Amino acid sequence: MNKLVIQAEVVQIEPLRYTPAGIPLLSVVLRHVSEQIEAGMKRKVECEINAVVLGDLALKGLKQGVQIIAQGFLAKRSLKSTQLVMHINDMKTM
Amino acid sequence: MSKPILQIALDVPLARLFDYLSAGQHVQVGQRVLVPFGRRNQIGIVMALADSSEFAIEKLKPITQVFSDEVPLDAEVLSLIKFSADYYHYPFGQALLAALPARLRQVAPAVARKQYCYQITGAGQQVDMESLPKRQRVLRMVLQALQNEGAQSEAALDALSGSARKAAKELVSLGYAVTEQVLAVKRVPAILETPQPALNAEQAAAVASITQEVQTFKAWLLHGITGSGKTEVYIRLMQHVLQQQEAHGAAQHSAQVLVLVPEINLTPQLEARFRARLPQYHLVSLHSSLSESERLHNWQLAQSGAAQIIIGTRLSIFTPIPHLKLILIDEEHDSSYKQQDSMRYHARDVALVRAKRLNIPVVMGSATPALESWYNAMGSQVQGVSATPSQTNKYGLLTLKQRAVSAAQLPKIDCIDTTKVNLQHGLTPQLVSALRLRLERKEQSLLFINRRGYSPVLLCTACHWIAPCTRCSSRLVVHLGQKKLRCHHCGHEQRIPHQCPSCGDADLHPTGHGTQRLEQTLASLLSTARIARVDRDSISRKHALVEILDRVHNQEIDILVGTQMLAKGHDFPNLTLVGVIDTDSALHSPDFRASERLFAQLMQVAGRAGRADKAGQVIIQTAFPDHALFNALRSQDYASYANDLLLEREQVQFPPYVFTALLRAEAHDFSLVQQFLQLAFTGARALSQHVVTYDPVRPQMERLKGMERGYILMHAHQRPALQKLLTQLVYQLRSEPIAAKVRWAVDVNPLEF
Repeated sequence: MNKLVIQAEVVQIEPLRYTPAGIPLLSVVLRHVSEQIEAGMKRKVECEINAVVLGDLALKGLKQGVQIIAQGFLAKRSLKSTQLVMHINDMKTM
Repeated sequence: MSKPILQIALDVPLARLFDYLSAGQHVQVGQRVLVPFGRRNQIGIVMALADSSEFAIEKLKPITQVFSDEVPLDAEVLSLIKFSADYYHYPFGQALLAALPARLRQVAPAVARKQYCYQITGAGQQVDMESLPKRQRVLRMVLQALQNEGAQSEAALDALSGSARKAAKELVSLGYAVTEQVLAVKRVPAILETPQPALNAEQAAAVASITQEVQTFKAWLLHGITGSGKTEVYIRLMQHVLQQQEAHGAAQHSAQVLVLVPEINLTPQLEARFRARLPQYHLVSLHSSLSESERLHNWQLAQSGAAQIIIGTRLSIFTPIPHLKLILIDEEHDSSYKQQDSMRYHARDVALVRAKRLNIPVVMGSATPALESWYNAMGSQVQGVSATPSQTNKYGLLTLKQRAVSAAQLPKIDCIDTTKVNLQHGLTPQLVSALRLRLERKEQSLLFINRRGYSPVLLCTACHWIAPCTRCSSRLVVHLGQKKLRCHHCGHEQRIPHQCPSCGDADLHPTGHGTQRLEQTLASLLSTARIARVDRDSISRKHALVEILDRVHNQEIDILVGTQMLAKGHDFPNLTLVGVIDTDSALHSPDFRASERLFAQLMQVAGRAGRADKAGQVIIQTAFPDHALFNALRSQDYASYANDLLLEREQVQFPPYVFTALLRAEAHDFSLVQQFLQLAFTGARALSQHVVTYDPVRPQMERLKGMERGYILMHAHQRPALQKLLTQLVYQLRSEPIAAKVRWAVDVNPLEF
């Protein structure tokens, strides 16, 4: 199981690029701010998440500053990297 | 009755001749014949006439046809090919037929562009002009010309009248004239010679030395730095040889000169220069981009003696040239002189043999001679560990140290350490600003990157999968424009996968730089620059290269991006910057000739900068700026680097200090290759103590075109010992059943192993 659903603001968008086979690809940075319950206590959460959007979803005209609910999975950036990247499979603009 | 049995060479992989009956037809040695072989007819060449055969005479078949109109191949060429086939251990018949133009290997009679010449007959001579109707003006005109001026060529008739050929044909039908087929000889246009540039002292000395001994065999190594005017020396030598022969009087045939060039791409320029300077001589070229009929035609012109200057690539060394008086080899170090399949001959070596047999000089020119040639020219001057006293300089050495255009300076060479700067898409800031400067000054630049395509590797960063060729041990090269992956070894081509076949990641990364990527990077960094790319992909269309080069000469191009195709021979006066990108892989290649080759190549490319009055600059990007090779390059000192390399070679006993040969084998099933090589290895070890035979190994490219490969290396200090072993070994192996199951070949003096 590897599923991440998160509401966040799109704070950074790289120029649209294409894989060598011609699949559109968008790299974005999401900023998430919320309140969560942890061990019965309320706390603030803030994080920035590197994410990529592939395929038709990348062409949906995502804009900087919008709030989205994104759903996807996590993967390493590359073989020897410890950084995680969220791969977005589905998203709704708020 | 002439001898009834013909010994004929056929294009079959057997090292023998085949006996046929002449069936009463008059046949000469060297003539092309058609013979029944198996179920079909084959072209063969008559090698000998004999009284008897080892086979029963009733079992022999008669030949089908003799091409008696054709000039037989002369004995000199036949024996040269025989020698080569023996030396390179290749079936003679195959070697011989491969040396002929394709048209001569076909069953149909070989007819080049047909041209006729009209001759008057006895009846025609008697005809009274008045007996012909007055209104047939042209007919009378043609008859008159034939009666008064003798034979008329088609070209002469065309000059007479538009319908003169038709009239001539009518005269033939009336029996007043006959036709005779002749070789189409291009009329030499009466253009004025380009004025002779003055020779500098070194050039003059070189010409003088060679012309002094022009009547005998001697091998000359013309070592001239880039831009030192080697071509001018060639021209003077040709003039000398061709004129001298003319001076001997009309009774003799005019002399012929053979000029070998490494690449087809270089022929048009050299051809143009020779034509401009030697317009009075008939020049033909022989290379594989000619159409088959052009090639045949030019070959026949050489064979007939009509062509005086023959320019050609390696195969033209086997062209029949009856009055050959001089052989010139341009860029003698070039690896394209070595044939890499079928008969693996080296055109330079065959040229030396041919010149020696004909007792004529051979001149080998290069800025960076092959180490073998350098060794032969230097002789005992190379201070080796065990310099053998018997080694004397076999070749005459002539050196050109000055650039021919006296204002032209040798370019300044800088190595930029790529580990110490931030690269912008593979380019160092130094190189980018040097390019900018050239753009401002309206001068031209050349970027040399020896890799075509977009990038050499398609990498999955998630799992480090790399797109491999399914048929070779190689990686597929990304050609982004065509959305294709291609193997540069076997030509395999496939679409770029949507995702990594190993882990499924879609974000695959083209990694590394090729010409296409560099072109794209430059376009984005220097938006005003006019960029042209020269590699095998961009010049695949006929004349494409010529068009690009014209645009460069017309100053319509600012930056040229290209592979080694651009390294040689080109002369761009306004080009002042050469950038070399990513040569480090060649610096640490396991191939023992890699550094020699890289040095030659870098000298060549560097030589493109600053050939005219403007100073040139060369920037080399490397992670190893202190490598000995770059030090030698910076001082442009071929001689000391070559001597160092020779020392190295002597220490490890590599060519030219030993004579080497490979026995290569390949098959779909590697165990067959192993069995075969093991057998050959045991055989070779048993045959000679004077030859060192190494265990079977696999080449760097273990698999090529779906074939598993392996080889055995043999070396010896004496050439005859190696030759003797090879002859015996090949003879033994041919009768082994396993030998029929693998593809194998002997490679004498291999370029790499």
